[in-house]
Amino acid sequence: MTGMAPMKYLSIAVSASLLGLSGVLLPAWAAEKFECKSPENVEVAETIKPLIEKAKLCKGLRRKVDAGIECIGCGVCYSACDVVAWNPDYLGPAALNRAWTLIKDERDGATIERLRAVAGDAGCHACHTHMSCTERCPMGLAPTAGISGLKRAVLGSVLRGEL
Amino acid sequence: MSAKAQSLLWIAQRASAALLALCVIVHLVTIIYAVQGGLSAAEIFGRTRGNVTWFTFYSIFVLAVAVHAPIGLRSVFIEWLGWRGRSRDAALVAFAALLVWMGMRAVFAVFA
Repeated sequence: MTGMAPMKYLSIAVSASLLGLSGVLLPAWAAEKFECKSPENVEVAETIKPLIEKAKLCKGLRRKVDAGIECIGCGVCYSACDVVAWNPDYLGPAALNRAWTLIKDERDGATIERLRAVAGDAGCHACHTHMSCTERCPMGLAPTAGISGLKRAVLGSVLRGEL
Repeated sequence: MSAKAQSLLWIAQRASAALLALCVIVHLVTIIYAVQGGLSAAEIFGRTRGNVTWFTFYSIFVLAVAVHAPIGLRSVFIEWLGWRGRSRDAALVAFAALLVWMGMRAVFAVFA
C-alpha cells in the first residue's frame, strides 16, 4: 500500500456514507481490501471507524435540511417574494434557504458568522411569512420554514450571547 | 445598527406580542363582563380607583404596546417609505414616548 492509500480509502468511506449508502458504507472492492489484516490496513480501519460513525450521525441530523438542499437555484422564490420588491437590501428566500441548510449541517464550522450575516433587516427577520416562495417553488421546497428556522437559530444564539 | 441590535428588536417585538395576546384577552373579557353586568361608569371607577392590580396590569399593557408598535412601524417605514437612519429612529422613539404618555394618562385617569 502506498503512502496515499489510507487517505484514499478514508475519503471513499466518508463520501460513501455521506451519500447515504446506508448498509453499504464501503464499495465492495474497497471492503475486500480491508479484509487483508495487515497492520497498516487495521490502522486505517480504526482511523475511519469514528469518522463513519460521525458521518452516520450527520446524516440523521441532516434530515431537517434534506428538502432544502434540493434547491435548483431557479430564483422563482426570489421573484415571488413581496419583501424582495419592498426592501432592496433583503437577501431573499433562496439565499436564506441555502444559509439554513449550511447552518443545520453538523460539519459546518461557521455557524455564528452565517447567523450574523442572515440576522436583521436585510435577512431572516424581514420575512413576513407570506409564503409566496413556498407556494411558487417548482421543487416543492419550503424556504419559509427554513427562514423560520433561521429566526429560531438567531434567537438561540442571541440568548446564549454568541451573536 | 448591528445585526445583534436588529435581532434584539425582533425578539422585543415577539415578546411584547406574547404579552399583548394575554393582555388583550383579559381586557376584552373585562369589557364584556362590565357591559353584560350593566356596570355604570361610577361603579367601574369604584373598582379601579386605588386598585394596584388593575394599575399594574394596564401599565404592563401600555408598555407592551409602546414596545411593539414602534418596532412594527419601523418595518413599515423601511418597506413603504425607504426611511432609514437616525431621523427614522428618532421619530420612532418619539412615537413610543407618545404611546407611553397617552396610555399612562388613561391608566392614571382610572386609577387615581
